[in-house]
Amino acid sequence: MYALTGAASGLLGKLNPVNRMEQKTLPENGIRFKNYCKRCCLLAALAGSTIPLRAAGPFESVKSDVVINNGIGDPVLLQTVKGKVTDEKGDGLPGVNVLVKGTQQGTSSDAAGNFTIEVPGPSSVLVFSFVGYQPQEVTVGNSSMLEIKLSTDTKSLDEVVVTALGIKKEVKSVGYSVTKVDGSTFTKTRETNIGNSLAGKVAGVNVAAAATGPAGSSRITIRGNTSLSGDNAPLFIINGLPMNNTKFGKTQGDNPDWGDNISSINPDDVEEMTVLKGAAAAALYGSRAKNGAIIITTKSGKGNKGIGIEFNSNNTVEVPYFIWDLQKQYGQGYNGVKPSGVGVAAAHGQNHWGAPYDGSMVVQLDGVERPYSYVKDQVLKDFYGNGHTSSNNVAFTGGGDKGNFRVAVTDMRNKGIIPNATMRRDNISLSINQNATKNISISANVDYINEEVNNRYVLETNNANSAGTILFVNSNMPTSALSPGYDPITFKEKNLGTDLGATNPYYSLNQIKNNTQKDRFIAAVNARWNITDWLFVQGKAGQDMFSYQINKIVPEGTGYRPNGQIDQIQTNFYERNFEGMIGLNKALNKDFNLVVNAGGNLMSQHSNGTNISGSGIITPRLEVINNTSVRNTTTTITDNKINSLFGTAELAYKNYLFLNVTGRNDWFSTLSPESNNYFYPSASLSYVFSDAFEMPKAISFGKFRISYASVGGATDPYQLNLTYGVLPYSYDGKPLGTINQAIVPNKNLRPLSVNELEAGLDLRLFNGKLGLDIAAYNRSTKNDITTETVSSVTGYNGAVVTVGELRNRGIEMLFTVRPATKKDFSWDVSLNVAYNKSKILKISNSTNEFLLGTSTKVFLKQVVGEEYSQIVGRTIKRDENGRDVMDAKGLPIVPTDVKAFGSGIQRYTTGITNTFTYKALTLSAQVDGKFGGMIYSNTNYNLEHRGMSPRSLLGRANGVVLPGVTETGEENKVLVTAAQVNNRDIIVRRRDALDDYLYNASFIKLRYVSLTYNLPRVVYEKIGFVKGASVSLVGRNLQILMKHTPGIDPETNLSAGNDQGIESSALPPTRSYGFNVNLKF
Amino acid sequence: MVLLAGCDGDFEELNKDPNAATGELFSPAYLFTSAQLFSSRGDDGASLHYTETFVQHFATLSDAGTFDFFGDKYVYNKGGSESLWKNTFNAVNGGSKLLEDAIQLSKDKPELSNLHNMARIWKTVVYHRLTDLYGDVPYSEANQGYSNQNYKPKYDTQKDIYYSMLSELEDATAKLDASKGPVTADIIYGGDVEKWKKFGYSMMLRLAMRLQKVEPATAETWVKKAFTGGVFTSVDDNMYVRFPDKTGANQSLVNGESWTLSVSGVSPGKISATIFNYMKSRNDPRLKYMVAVYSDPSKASTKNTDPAIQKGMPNGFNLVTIKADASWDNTKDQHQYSGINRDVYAKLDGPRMCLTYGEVQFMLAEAVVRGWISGDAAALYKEGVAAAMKNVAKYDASAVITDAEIDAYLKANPFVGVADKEKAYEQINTQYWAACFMNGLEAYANVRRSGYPKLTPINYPSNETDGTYPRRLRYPEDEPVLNADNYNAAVARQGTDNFKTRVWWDKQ
Repeated sequence: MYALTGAASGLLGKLNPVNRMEQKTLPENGIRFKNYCKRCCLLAALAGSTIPLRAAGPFESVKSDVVINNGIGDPVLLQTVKGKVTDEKGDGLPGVNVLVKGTQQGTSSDAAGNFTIEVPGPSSVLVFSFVGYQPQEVTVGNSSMLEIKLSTDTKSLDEVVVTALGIKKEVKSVGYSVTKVDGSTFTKTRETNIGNSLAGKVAGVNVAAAATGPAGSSRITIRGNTSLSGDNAPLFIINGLPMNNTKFGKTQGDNPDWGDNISSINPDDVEEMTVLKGAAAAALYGSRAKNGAIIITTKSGKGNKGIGIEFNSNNTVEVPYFIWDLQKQYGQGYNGVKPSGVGVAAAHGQNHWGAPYDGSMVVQLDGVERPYSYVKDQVLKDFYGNGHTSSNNVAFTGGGDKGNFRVAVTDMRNKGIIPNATMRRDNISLSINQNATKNISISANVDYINEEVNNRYVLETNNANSAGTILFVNSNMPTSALSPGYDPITFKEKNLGTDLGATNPYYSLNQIKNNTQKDRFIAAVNARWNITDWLFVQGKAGQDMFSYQINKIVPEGTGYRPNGQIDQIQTNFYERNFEGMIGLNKALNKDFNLVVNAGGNLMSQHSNGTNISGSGIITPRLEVINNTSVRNTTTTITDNKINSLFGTAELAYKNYLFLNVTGRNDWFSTLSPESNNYFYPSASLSYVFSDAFEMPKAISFGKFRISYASVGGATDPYQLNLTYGVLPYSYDGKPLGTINQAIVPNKNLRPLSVNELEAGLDLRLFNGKLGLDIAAYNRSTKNDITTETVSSVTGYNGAVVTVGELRNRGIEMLFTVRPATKKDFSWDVSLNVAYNKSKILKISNSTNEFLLGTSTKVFLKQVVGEEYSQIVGRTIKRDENGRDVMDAKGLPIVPTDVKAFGSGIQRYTTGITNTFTYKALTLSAQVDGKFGGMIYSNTNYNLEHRGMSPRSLLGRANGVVLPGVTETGEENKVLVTAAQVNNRDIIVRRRDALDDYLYNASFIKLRYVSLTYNLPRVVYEKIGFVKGASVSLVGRNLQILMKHTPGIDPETNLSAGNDQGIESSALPPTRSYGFNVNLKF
Repeated sequence: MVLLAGCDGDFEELNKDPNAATGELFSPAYLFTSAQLFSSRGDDGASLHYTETFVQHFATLSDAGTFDFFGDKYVYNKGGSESLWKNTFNAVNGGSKLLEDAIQLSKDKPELSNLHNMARIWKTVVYHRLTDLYGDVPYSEANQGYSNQNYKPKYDTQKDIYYSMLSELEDATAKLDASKGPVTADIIYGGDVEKWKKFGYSMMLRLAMRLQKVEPATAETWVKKAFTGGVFTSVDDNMYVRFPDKTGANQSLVNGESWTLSVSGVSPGKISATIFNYMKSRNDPRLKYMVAVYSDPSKASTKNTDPAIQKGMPNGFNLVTIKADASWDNTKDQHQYSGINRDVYAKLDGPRMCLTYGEVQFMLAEAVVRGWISGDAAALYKEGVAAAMKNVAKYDASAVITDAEIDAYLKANPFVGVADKEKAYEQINTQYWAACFMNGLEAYANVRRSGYPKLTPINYPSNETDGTYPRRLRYPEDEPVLNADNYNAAVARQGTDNFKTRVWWDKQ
């Protein structure tokens, strides 16, 4: 009810449009007639000019039962015209405005797109208009059945977007950057974690999936990172209420990536996603939206009449491909010698410092003699296999005068490229909208999600890792020889050699289990009472609750844990929100209109967790927690509340100048009582200059916008005080005390703040054939609550400090081009480009840097003056000309001081989508890329250390004089002998430096291609009961078009956390191919 | 509803963790128990893999940097080099952190004074090991992240630390009072104040002897104080920690080094030829309990204690180079060499020795030879050898060495006398080295201090010392990152952060 009608009088040509959603929820007291002006704007009803009408529901055609005035003054005889309005695909378009040109008589199409209208005669012209489509004029002629096909209008001047708190606004009135992504984006070329589908889609949105397989976590950031070490994920809102997005833990030690909560969302249920990028956009959501917000609207039964059934099936095959960069000349062994016996072979299970391959028979670590030849390429066939994902969805919809519903069931199953790794997710969703009375509407959404993942991938260390160890096991041994990885009688692990920490990968996947189960309910109810046509009250209540279970089994007989261990972790969580809001929408006079909303929200979160760790499996093969000799139980309970008050006001002047102010105050339970509340103001201005002035013809629409906002944020509970406890086990009955905090608590925690200034320009040229949307912003964080890493000598790993400062500056651009818009052929191009540069300004009063994460020789740190997540480490000493400096042994010198090399976060993100439609065929392809970041490869480090990389060949045969200078500046002439090389002297020295394993992470990928055939309407109408059908061939992650990282995919971060920039034994990349079938009945 | 949003009364209560206690409620005794346990479980990297091979109790054929027992080849391993430091300063179960809070929370509480002073004595156990291995280390400002918001603790000089530890021992030991509250939380002596007093003075003796090279006068003063105060008088005074879990189900409650030697890293470590030959050539009765050949180390059942097949492994070889050594039998694999007898020395519930009566006797014998105290050096030597041999039964009750065996040994290996003092020092300290088998940190410190036994350094490719005997381990790699100024100051004072730089008391 924000698009106003009352102000229309006297504003011809610049009238407020009425949007589609509005139209459909109109009360039964009449239909508003539409008009059309040459500026291509939809016009709202003209106040006071309505003609008495028969009552009509929103989905019924409306028929005038009076003789109308044709403008001349004489009554004329009316002719009845019927017809159908369809979209480009031939689907019926409901709610299309049909107007007899030059009159005020009109109607709108019904749910199937059909309409009936009475016109004065054959020369009458009908004007068809609908939000998001180009208007069309048709002369009635003698035809009694008209077919009108409307084509989409990228100008979409009157497009409506969902903004914070579910408030719908016209795009023109919005003073900040908002991007809408249609639900179909997520279904055809889908990802199991919907978060990853956003890659390359929206300017400013950076998606970095953890390289941990289909059940892994997704890292989404908008406009960079606002917190040095805290949460940088946007707030997810589903059907108006916040959704939890816990990350359950990254891969670390022998733990896998335990996944996240975004993955619960079923792509088939998403109607659309709206990305609120800036602080101004999200300010109304308060602290939790300091990183922006992603608003998900799920599908409903709206727009349907009667019962409909939709079926969608998506099936893909994931094919891994060989990406590693390996040498093929030298085999297993050490010091240039191949293994002489099983003991030596076992001791050098992963060392490739042996002799040149000669095909001779050598004993391998399993005692079998095989040819001494390179066979590593078989690993894809022997160990990996094709993955498979199948997702099937059935949705029932129904609609009528009073309301509508949708019930959908989806079953998604994935089989990973590693055997025994599976994922299943079932979603049941229910959406109900009902008009209780003519002024009161009620809606409810319930989603139930059941997810089961078996054998999540462990990537970090050798323990239980399969992708890493299978790669490092000697290249002259067929990996299948390690299968099944255990003794068939005792079931004990068959070790890869003497290093018991390196788990036999077949054992990892056949015996070790990292299984999870999730049950989740997300429910929301919403009631709204339109007290008058300008005043409403609304109440919402919602709960997101889940129960998550981890069952981790390391069987008895595992090399690195001989007695076995079972961990059973159960987490129960709920978040409840109650929100009340009152809103008014009133014209103050003919020039000014005021919209005000105010309300409050109570948020409470509760979680309780039980962690039972059982060690010492008593009866082998009985892998249940009750069969362990020591069982330690830890329980945790946390509570957290945020109470809020908020308000927003929009003042519109002549419908081209819009001022929007918002304010919100949050009270946090997790902060110090002295400073636990924070007020967040925002103001934005939108100026539609194309409506304010007469513009050149080429400019169809032009808008300038500017906004400023301040948003705050709090932190996790229980960080104020130091507490003590006892360990879950005792020493002969004596309690073992412990200090609960590994991080120094801070009694004076206060909220952080994020301030953002944004300006933007929205231009549509040449009737929408060219669109340009630019935004520039400066976003700064103050008083960031961070955990400063401190030396363990302090007794702690970190300290909570609240003085961090950082800044993100960037530019975002979206270009839309329609090179062809013919009836049978259209071509749409959408290109987004974003640049974000971060700068760390302050960490704490005592340090200029702190550690985000570390792995082998690399540190990821925040460094004052540098960009976010710096890759830090040692480097080879170089002279002023950049030449390596060698010591007396002819080996490079690697001093112990460290240097920041660059950020692990990409500065530029871009994506281009081309869509071609020819008659019933649609071809769509996306290419996207990221640039300006770096990545350190642990895989390549490990390959080199083990003598597997091509670079490790240097000097093996005859020794080498490394290029460089001596410490006195003369040319280095010292020969490193082959014996020294084969003793790894060079590698041992060089591996201390990052240089050899650090890469530019820029890439360009062909993300997806889809080819869709929409069954023409004439065909399925003949069949009768079918309302629509389409078949698509889809391919995803088809090709890396550009990269600088030998042997690895640059898009394979170990972590989905803030520590970006390390790759570690990632799974091989996959291409997925498949098809999607959609049927509507 | 809306109006009340800002004044929700339960906010403060809500932010108190329902599962934890604050310092006012919590008993520091529980922290003391944890501190004793976690600072004595043993420390794979530094004590077993480095120092036990530095002193040539152990050897390995593992390659440089590949697996374990890095000290065999004087190569650098990050985890191994920093492990003692990281176990001492650990945010989760660091012995020194738990102790610090136990000491602070028991201060000014008369009923906890014995606990307080025992914790102070235990603190010297923790820190003398640390400084002996690394040199200058954080001490006076360590573990004060919460109490003083000190996030950059300075490194104290080893001299200051030793001076402070000696006065702490003096003061804390003197304040122990049997009439004050019992300390049931003590897992070593069950709170026996008299035993703690003897232990306090024995620690003082150890610390004092350490200063012999650098400040002999100071050493003499404190040796006298310790001797007068009253040191250990029998093997029953021995300070060691037992571990309650013999099944190994809970790794936190087992002897950490036993775990490595018998369960997790069974194959690479063998008994060094140096100690093996020393004992074998003297018919040492301890040897039969010490070694066993395991033809398949992953199977305990392949154990063979037949003396005829036992042999030590020379230090500094790998799987390839060992073939050139005379000890190698080409018909067998690397498991032809003796490993540790796991049923005696590497039981999961076996003790970890901290300070024994035998060592005390050897130190007193040396002090007599040096003329710092008066006594019968020969008698002290004899008592030291006897005590060291009897101590084996503390590892396993079946490993009893009889008086007859001891007498026979002492007859064959009598005290060399005080005429040639160097010879006396050599004999006493070599016995000390043998007595410290499985206490690599102490053996290594005493080898560096006394110079005995004279071990032949190895010179393996890419070693850290250019073939000289290692003098210390490297600081953790994250210290120059997280505590740069203090790290740099320590390095500037002490010398390059490598294996060659000598700690303060290890004067050239």
